[in-house]
Amino acid sequence: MSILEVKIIRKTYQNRFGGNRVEALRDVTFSVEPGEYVAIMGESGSGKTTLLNILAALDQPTGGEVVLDGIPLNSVSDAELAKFRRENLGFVFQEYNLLDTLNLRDNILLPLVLDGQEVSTLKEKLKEVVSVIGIQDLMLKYPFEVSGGQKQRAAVARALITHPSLILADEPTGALDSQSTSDLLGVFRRINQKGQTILMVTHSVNAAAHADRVMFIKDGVVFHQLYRGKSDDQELYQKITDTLSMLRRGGER
Amino acid sequence: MFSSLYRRIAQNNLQKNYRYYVPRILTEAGLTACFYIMLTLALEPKMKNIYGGEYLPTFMMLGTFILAILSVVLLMYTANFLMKQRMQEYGLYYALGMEKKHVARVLCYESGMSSAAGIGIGIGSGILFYKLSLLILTKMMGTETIPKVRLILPAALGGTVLFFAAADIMIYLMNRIRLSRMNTTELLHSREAGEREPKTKILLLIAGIAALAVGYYIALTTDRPLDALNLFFIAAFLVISGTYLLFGAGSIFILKALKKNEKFYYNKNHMIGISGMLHRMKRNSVGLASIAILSTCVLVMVSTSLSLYTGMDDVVESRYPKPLYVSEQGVTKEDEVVSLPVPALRRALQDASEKTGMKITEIDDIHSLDGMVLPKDGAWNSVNSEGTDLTRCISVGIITQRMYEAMGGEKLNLKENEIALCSLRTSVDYSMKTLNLNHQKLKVRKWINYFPVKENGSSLSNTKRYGIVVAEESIARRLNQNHAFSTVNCLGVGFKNPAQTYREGEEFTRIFRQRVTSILAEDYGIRGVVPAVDSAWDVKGALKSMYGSFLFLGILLGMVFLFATVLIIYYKQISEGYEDRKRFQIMEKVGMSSGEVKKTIQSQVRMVFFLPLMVAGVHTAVAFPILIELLKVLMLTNKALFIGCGLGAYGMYVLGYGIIYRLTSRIYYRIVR
Repeated sequence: MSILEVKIIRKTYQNRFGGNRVEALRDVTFSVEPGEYVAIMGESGSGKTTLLNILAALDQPTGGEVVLDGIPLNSVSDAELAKFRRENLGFVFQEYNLLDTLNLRDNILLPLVLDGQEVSTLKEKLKEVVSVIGIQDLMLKYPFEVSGGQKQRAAVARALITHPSLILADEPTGALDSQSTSDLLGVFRRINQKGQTILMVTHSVNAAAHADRVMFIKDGVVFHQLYRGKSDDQELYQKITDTLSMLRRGGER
Repeated sequence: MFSSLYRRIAQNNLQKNYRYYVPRILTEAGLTACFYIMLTLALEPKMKNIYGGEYLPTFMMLGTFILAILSVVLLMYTANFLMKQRMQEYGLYYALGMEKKHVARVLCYESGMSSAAGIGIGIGSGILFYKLSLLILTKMMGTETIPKVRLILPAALGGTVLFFAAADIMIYLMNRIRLSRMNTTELLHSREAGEREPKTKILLLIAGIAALAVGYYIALTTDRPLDALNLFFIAAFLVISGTYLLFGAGSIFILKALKKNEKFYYNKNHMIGISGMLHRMKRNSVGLASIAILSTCVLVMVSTSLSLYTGMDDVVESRYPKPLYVSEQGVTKEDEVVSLPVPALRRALQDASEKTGMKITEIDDIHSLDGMVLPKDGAWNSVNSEGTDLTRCISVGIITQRMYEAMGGEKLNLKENEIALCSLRTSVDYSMKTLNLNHQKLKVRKWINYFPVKENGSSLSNTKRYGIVVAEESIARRLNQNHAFSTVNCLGVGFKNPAQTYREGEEFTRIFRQRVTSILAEDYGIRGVVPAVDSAWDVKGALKSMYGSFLFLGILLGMVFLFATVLIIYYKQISEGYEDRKRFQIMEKVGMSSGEVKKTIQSQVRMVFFLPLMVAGVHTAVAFPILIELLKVLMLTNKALFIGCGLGAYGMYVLGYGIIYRLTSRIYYRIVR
């Protein structure tokens, strides 16, 4: 069974008086299998952020359905939505979104604390996650004291700690230098190899080339998909570049 | 041409940052208006002529002075706040290639325009409200005819404008120096600089606790009115420093202790709150402590002046069991004291009563002793006023128990050789258990706060004075064996409807004096001697004008202090709003429902804003015992009234504060959302 099923999603923005309809997404359909590492690519304005917001249940689609782990998102009540999100989804954002008033340890623990878990459980899970991500020494630092890459790793740890069915990453490497980017992509790969399903939105070819599958979104539809198959990162990189230039040419048509 | 560019930029900036600048301008306007009104009242020569107006200029000058200090502090606070908020903007100007002098020029235009607007509006409304304030003031003082004053007093106008312009120029120069010291990148990133968790400062914490504890101890244990006067300021100073220290170090200490407790800390209701508060308190402790202190000031000022004003009649009535006292002695032009025939005085009183229609119910003949004693080796002995160093002397008044009770004193039940002592004017040694007066050994049974007999004019005003109540006439006679004391005899006059206003009473006194003079001259052949008259309405008039102006000052300053509080709260709400906006969004993304986020933030903000109010309440409550002692100096002994006024003032204040909080938190939520 797929872990995420997206069925003919549509999203139309409308201003209040009914004029100026903008179609951000039309007929987006795809599914993600457990343990898959999927990258979604697209240029600014292609609708990828809208899609991610809908997958994250931060926004409602105009039509269609999203099913996560067998549960249709629209069946979750507003009151349970926060809890649902906390338990089933992990988020990694471009802007890290760490609370500046908490040190890294507390930032990582935040979702569990919100869930009301015991202190002993917290410690256990923290140890487990932190050793995977490799930021043991930074636990007591505050976000402003560490580098962007370190912040982003803490954010990944925070996303992982609830053992979510799916990690949603929104331009996770967007604000990082090349060294931090490759470190972070290494982390993603490691956790993916341990079985974590990841859905990453990016416009970095380098980042996308780490995924198992790359979907291209343009003008609100899934335009094209690439599977890694047997190719290595380098070959996938080349394929993605080719696809992108094809898309661009197609855009000029 | 370029200068108009800078002016336009400045104008644009003011408009864009209206959320910051409108309150700043209003603050300056409010301060200017109050300052102008007070200064005008202080400088207006005609104010001195109204009854009881002698000390009005001093009062108002004092108020102006306090206001001046407060204004500078408050204007600096707003300027600081504005600079902090706008550093990034100025940094952008540098980054876009403006030179420092150009940015300084923009700053100059901005400061100049906001300052001009503030002072202008302030002076305008000051002039507008001057007449109204005058009406309120004279009403409070019980003045019947309002003096015809000029609408604008150039000296006050000039002084006000000069003062505020000078303050603004000083602040501008300070800002300019600060701006020129920063480099572009610092400016650009000044707002993003993160902050470490604050450290617990144990020394400050201990100092704060000690200061507060000693201050509270003094306030709670001082039970001697005249000590209270000296100790009050020490206690106030200690409590103020303690408050500042504890808001900083104390709150951080508590929050850190809570954080150490993992079971407590790792809870969804506590973690974000505690860590948020830790960061908030570091930056806000000074502001919050200031709010607490300002609020305490308002509460103390308003409750004391209000209870003095409303309790005035009580005071006078307790002091004057009879509304009018007529001395049976008069002073001639040669400063000789002569006894006057009591029948003549009684007749004059009756005549005045008939003429004014104020019906006399009784006339008591009161006798007391008055004189100077020199304390030496624990004994007090009468001295001759000539050839003695009077500054070392003590003035005493002596009456009998029967007389004391008749004149409104409490029941003392003194036995022979027992006395009750009342200290007037200066601090005293309450440990005194016995008194050796003119070779009579007397036992001090009780200390009293009230002594009804007026002092004879002969003693120096800076000497100590004690009132002594003795058990019986015979003791008084024994004390006065060598006739070292002078006998003070007077008539206490009771009325059916005593004069309600100073003016009515004055009329009675005038007619009485006229009648006495003519009766004495015609029937007794005594000329040039006028009896001394001491009346409740005289004192009431004086008190009313004094406490009235005190109340006026208290309310006006109270308003300014409240205004200052509002401003600090407002600025805090905005700056917190901008900071919290991001946290709000993060928390929602991480998996808190918006309801939970709202609850978390609301409880933090509430804590931050209502903590000072609670502290102010506690401070004021603790200050009450010492204030009650202080008020005894001013003869107010009605505790219930004072407590009522205090509670009333606190209630009003909480209400006002709550309204302000609501209004400003609306702005806060608008920013956060």
